[in-house]
Formats: sequence, C-alpha cells, structure tokens
Amino acid sequence: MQLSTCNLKFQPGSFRDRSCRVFEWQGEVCRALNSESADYHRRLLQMPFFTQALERGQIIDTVPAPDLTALVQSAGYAAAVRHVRVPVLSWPWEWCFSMLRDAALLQLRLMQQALAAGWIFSDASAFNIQFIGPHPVFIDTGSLVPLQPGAVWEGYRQFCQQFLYPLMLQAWKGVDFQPWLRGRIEGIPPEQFSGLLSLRDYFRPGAFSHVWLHGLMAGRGPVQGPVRESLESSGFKAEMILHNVRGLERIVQGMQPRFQHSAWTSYISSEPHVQSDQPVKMSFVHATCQAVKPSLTWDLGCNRGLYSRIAAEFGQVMALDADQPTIDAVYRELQQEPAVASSRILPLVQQVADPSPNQGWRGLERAGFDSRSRPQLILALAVVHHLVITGGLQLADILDWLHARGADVVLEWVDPEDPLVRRLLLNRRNVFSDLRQDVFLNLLEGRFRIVQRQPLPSASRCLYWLEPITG
Amino acid sequence: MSMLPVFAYLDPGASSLLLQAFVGGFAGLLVFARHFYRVFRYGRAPQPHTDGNQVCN
Repeated sequence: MQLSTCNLKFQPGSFRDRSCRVFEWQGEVCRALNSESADYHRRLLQMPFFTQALERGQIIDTVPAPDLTALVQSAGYAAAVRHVRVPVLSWPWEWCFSMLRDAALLQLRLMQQALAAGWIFSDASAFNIQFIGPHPVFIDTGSLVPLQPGAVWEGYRQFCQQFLYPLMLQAWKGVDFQPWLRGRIEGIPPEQFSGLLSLRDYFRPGAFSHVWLHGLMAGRGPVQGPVRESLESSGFKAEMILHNVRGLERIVQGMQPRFQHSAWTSYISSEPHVQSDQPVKMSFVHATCQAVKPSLTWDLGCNRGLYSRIAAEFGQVMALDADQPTIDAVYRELQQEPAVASSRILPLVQQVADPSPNQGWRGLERAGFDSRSRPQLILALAVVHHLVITGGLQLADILDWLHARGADVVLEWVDPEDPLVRRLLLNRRNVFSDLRQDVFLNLLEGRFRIVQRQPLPSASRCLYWLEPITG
Repeated sequence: MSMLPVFAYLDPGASSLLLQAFVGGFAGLLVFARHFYRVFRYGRAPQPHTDGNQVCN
C-alpha cells in the first residue's frame, strides 16, 4: 500500500530530533523512526534495563508497529513504534516543585540504569517526561542511544537548565520557578543563574561546580577547539558520567521547597461555613458526574482536590490551582493514595486568569492550556468571585470563556455578602457591579441552561449545574 | 581567549561538556587537568585526524 507523506501529520512539538518523530494515526500515538533509530528500538526492546523500566511504568509503553512500516516509509522513515497515550499533556511550568523534582529523579535514575547497560540519553529535556496522574513517565524513547567509548553526556547542560536550576531557585531562594520556565522554553542558562547566588548559597551542595563554575565557563564565551575529542583522548569514561549523575541525584533528592506562606493549603478546614457546605457540595458534584459521565473534568481552583477525587471516579481530572504549595500538597497526597481514581488526577499549577499560552516555534511547539484538552465537565466551585475581584475579570467574559469550552459546568455562586467575599473586599473599592446574583442569572441567558440549582446551608452560596447552549 | 572568532558559529555548550570531567570524580579531574594542560601547551584543544575517529595526542 503506497501512502503519501501528507497522510503523516507529525506533532508540532516533535521536530528537534530528526531521527524519530511523533505522529498520531487513527487515534494512536506513534513514532516514526529512521533506520538507525529503528535499530536502536529493536535492540532496546530486548534489553532488560529497558523492559524492566517499561514494566515499572518509568518509560511509556512502547511496542513495535510493523503494520505502519509502509506509512512511515512514504515519509522517509524506516519503521514505527506505538506508545500508550498520555491522557493529558503538561509542561514543566505547570508542575509544582515536587513534580519537577520527581521528574528530575526519574531522568537521573533511568540514566544510571542505561549507563550500566551501555546506553545513554542523548539529551535531558524536561519535556521528555510527562505525568500520568501523579506519576512521572519518560516518553522520548528516541533519545536512548548506545554509549560510545569516551562520549560525554550531551544533556548535562539541559538538565541543569530545565531541572537543577529551577529546583535550586525554589529550594534556595524561595522563588517560584514556573514563570522562569514559561519565560524561556530552554530553561535558565548557567551564566544567568550563577548571578543569583548569595554568599550563603556558595556553601550549598552543587553550588560551586554545577552553578558557579558552570556559569563562569559558559559566561567566558565559547570554548575553542574540539572539546569532545579532547576529552575522549584525555581518557574520559562512562564512570565519570555516572559519578556526575549520582552526585546530581543526591543534590536533587536533598532539596526541599521553600514556599512563601499560603492560606490556601488549610482553606477548607479553617473556614466553618465552607466546611458546613461541604456534604451538600459533594453529593451535588457526585450526582452531576453520574449524569454527565465526564471522561475529562477540569477542577478550577481545586484546593486540596476533594471534588477532583469525586470526578476521578468517572474519568481523568485536571486539578488546577494557582497556589503552588496547595498543588504540591495534593500531588504528594495523591501519590500515597492506593485508590485507582487518585491515579487519574493530574494536579497542575495553573492560573485561570492567566493560563499557559501557546509557546515555542510558531506558537505550536507547546500548546496553551485552553487548546490542549477538551473537558466534558468543569468544576468552578467558589472560584468566580476570585476571578472577578482578585483577577479583575468581567463576569460576562468568564462565562464566555466557560461557554467556549463546550462543557457542562458546576458553578458555585458566592454572594458579595459572604464573609470571605467581604474579607476580599475589605481594602478594595467595590467596583464590581457585575458581582451580583441577578446580573449573573441574566448573563447566563443565551450561554447556559440551568439544569439544577442547589442553595447551600451557608445561605450566601448556591450551586448551579449549567449546560452550554449551542447553535 | 581575547581574539575569539565569530561567537554565533561556535558551540557555547562546549564549556558544559568540559565541566563534566570536573564533576566526574577524581579521575575526571585528571581528565579536566589534562585537557587544560594541552590547551595551555598547544594553544587550543587538539584537532582530530581527518582520516578517522582518532584524535591528536
């Protein structure tokens, strides 16, 4: 069967590695391999370190796809493999500290296993790791190559830029790394990060070599001559990479996040009227999920993920909150939970008023938050008043944005008389004329149909199940 | 290092490759030192032979 190249649509983020590219075929995620990469994959699938990593879920499930050979040959490739689909993609600037640290540790541990078997990862991009629920998984099987004698680890600089320095930024300086990674897709360069070190930082593990010296050498301009060959002829060996990788693992493992104080991690337990509403909200969310049966739910402002866990009984959930300490706590809790539903929840640091934009080459390399997934249900529980008051958004625009997602919505309306809203308005001029229930109900017209309405015991709050009006 | 050729065509990641010897334990430090000894002695890192994978010593 002769198929034209145009049948093969490569994923827009898969272009840097010319030896293998990811494409979708009939709803499946596949990878086209050139002859060299096809040979590597054939050998890898027989290597114990690789098959064990597959079994442990450290590497994405990968199987040969001989039925796609003719298809990929038409595009100049030699063979193909199939991967299990990651339910929802996420980017490092959406991860919390513990997620980035776990991703870094996975990369380093796989590297040690590969080195012991005579293989190496050609790069160390944080985009090579994705999360299935709260568990990291390595997805770029094409970056595994046989280790050549005297070869260095080409991904070392990338590891520092995309994993090590962002983690150090949070652990040493208490500065959120997400805006830094979102601002520069390649991560933080050593010559930039070394400029942030204080005298105290120089005594921290890894500061001298991985940061200061790295920054100094990179900042002095390019090194002349063929360094790779010089190191090879000077006796560079794989044991030296292994020594470096083990050292990096110790540094990463020892880092703890230094978060600024967050009021949100204990939000539910500290507010009595929020607590009293909880049982009614739980049963309302459960009943809505039972009716909608969402395969994907967005939980906006998820807090500790109470309602995400309910929705996860029915499908995948993206638990979204702008507060990193809260997402970090949710992530660590989910990892400990044995329930199958917990493994369907992907917690992400996401600000609804400023969601991740399309980024990278042509704005297609890393899709923005809005366009990456299509939920069937959106939980917007006690979040709209924050978007209006704190985010400064117009209520009509929020409802337009929710409507454009095409999903059912469970919205918790909070009146301006609510004690927490009064607290929010305490030092603000109340210019939020649209934050009224009658305005809200008027704005629903033409956008949503009210399927069900449930006033909450606290009296100042009310739940709505909204169905989008189409056509 | 004062008269560097056009920066844009050189690989700035080379310093990161070099640093790997430094962080590669005691044996790595010897490799690191050996590289710089050669740069000091010959003015730059040794060029590879053109007829194969061997490099100058």
